[in-house]
Amino acid sequence: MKTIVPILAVGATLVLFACAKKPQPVEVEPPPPEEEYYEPPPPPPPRQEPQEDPLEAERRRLEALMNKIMSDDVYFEYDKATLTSQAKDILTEVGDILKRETRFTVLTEGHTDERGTESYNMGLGMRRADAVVKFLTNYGVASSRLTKVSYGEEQPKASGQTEDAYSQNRRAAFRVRINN
Amino acid sequence: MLFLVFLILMLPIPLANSTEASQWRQGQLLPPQSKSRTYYFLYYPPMKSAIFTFLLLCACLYAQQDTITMDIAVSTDKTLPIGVINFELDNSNWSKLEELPHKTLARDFNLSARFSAVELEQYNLFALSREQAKHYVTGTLSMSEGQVKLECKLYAAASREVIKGFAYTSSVEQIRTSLHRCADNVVHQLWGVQGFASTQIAWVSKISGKKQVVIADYDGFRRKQITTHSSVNFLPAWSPDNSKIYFTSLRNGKPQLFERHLAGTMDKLLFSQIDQAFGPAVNPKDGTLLFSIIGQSGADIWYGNPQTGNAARLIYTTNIEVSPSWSPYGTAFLFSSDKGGQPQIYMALRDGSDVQRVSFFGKYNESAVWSPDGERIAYCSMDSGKLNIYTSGIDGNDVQKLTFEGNNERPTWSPDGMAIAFSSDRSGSPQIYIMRRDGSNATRITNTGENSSPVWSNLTKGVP
Repeated sequence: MKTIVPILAVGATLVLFACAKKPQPVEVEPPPPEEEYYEPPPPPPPRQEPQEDPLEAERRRLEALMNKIMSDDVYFEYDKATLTSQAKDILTEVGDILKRETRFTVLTEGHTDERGTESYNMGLGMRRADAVVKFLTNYGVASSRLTKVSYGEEQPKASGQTEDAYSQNRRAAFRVRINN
Repeated sequence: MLFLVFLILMLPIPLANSTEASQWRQGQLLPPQSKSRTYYFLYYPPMKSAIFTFLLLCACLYAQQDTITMDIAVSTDKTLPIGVINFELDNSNWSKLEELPHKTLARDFNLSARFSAVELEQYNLFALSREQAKHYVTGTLSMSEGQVKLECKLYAAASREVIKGFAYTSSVEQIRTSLHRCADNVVHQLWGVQGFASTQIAWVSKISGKKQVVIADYDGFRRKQITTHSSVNFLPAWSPDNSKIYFTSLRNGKPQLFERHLAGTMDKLLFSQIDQAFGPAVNPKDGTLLFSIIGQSGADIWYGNPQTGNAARLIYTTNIEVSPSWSPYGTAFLFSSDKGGQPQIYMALRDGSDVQRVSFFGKYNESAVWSPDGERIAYCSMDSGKLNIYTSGIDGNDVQKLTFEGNNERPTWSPDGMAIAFSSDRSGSPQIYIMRRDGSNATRITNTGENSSPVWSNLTKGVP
């Protein structure tokens, strides 16, 4: 350390007083790209600033809420369409959001695992979607904002013939849209 | 051990066999009626249930020892042995021939559920006699100017007299069609009925990870992809004249019915007034449809005319009603409903009235299809988590279990009712199989990928 300081000093002196001359030892390398970072950012166009920010924030807030709802899959037991207490907790959260954000409309997809027949599972998927929609309606969300579809066993989330995969596929999932 | 099992399995078959055999000898070649169902396992008194369990175990053991494609189940229907002697090929270049003609023909006979092929390299009276084959088929294949001539003759085994000869001219690619027609001609000659060797099967095949409807010859060869939309396309059904396929697709984000002319390339959306519909069943007499719609809380059965686009509800409850299947006369239909908690099979008249429960055994009975002669139904039933194919009388009695390994789904009758195609994952992946109506001789007709939901085409009018 003690040796570096004088070297730096010498180097700096050389740069200051002898820059026209040949470049000196390698040790001194003020990283040139860093200088760019020190430049002040280009001034933003001032007139847009007051309008865009709240809109953008609002958009980001809604997006976060939508993503929250869409990631809230509700899971079911095998060959059942009754809501578990866990499912009800999730649906309460979703219902709270929907009651606040009245522009949201939600498509509820009902899914099943691959066991059983394709046809019966189409019906079972709808029964699951219906259980979810019924809960939300009873919770106070207008039924006009809630639509449902059944995909039966046709769109699994997890593949494989394990109970783990099956349990992930027995679900109701949401798709959210904003109505203007 | 196996021989012992075989002996036990053969025991319950009544002496009728010998009379049948003599009928054949006398030339009264009527299809043996399989009135004698021996394995009504659900009806056996407790004393006999132990015997049945033993038989079941034996059958399972038997099946496990098999190679990939064959499943020797309990055979109660008798087949007629027929010799298939290697065809003579002329000196042309046959490299484009994917299979030797006698192989195709032998498979046709074995799948027909009427014959058992006795394959021989050359005429051998001892071998034919030992196998009790009273007839044999052989022929020649010759090529001139790019056209293939197939000559096929049916002989009496002992006298070597020609009973009937058939000749077909085609391109090399069409030889299979000619051979299938030959097989059907032999069926017609010896059984007096139209066989199904010239029919097709539609099914659902996963292509690039997406379910697509394909059709192929009934033996799985010459497959052709019908749907191309990269969403889920499934649950196909044939129009009565085999010119169209109805199917379900999720291409618009929800299940809907579509119609596809096999001669065309466009899919036509049907019943756009209905939000979500799936699983069409075609009336064999007038081409109208039954299908399921997704209602408020489950599924209902609707009736629709694809020509006019009109549709009306038939069976509507808060339960799940799916899988309609017309009677061969188009006057009644089967469907499944879970109004009792889990799906069971019911029957209703054409207008949806007079609903009667058909299945009483098992907790999960679904996908019922009515046999072409109207006498029986085939369906799948879940026991200990696995689906298996069963048949029963149309009143639900006389239940027979036909499959024992893996999941076995979506039975579909051959047009003459002698065989049943279905999908099974017994080999590790879902594939299509054909078995006799008694469950024996299950033969896999697809080999790779994932194949499910077979639907047999209808017989086209007239003997080939």
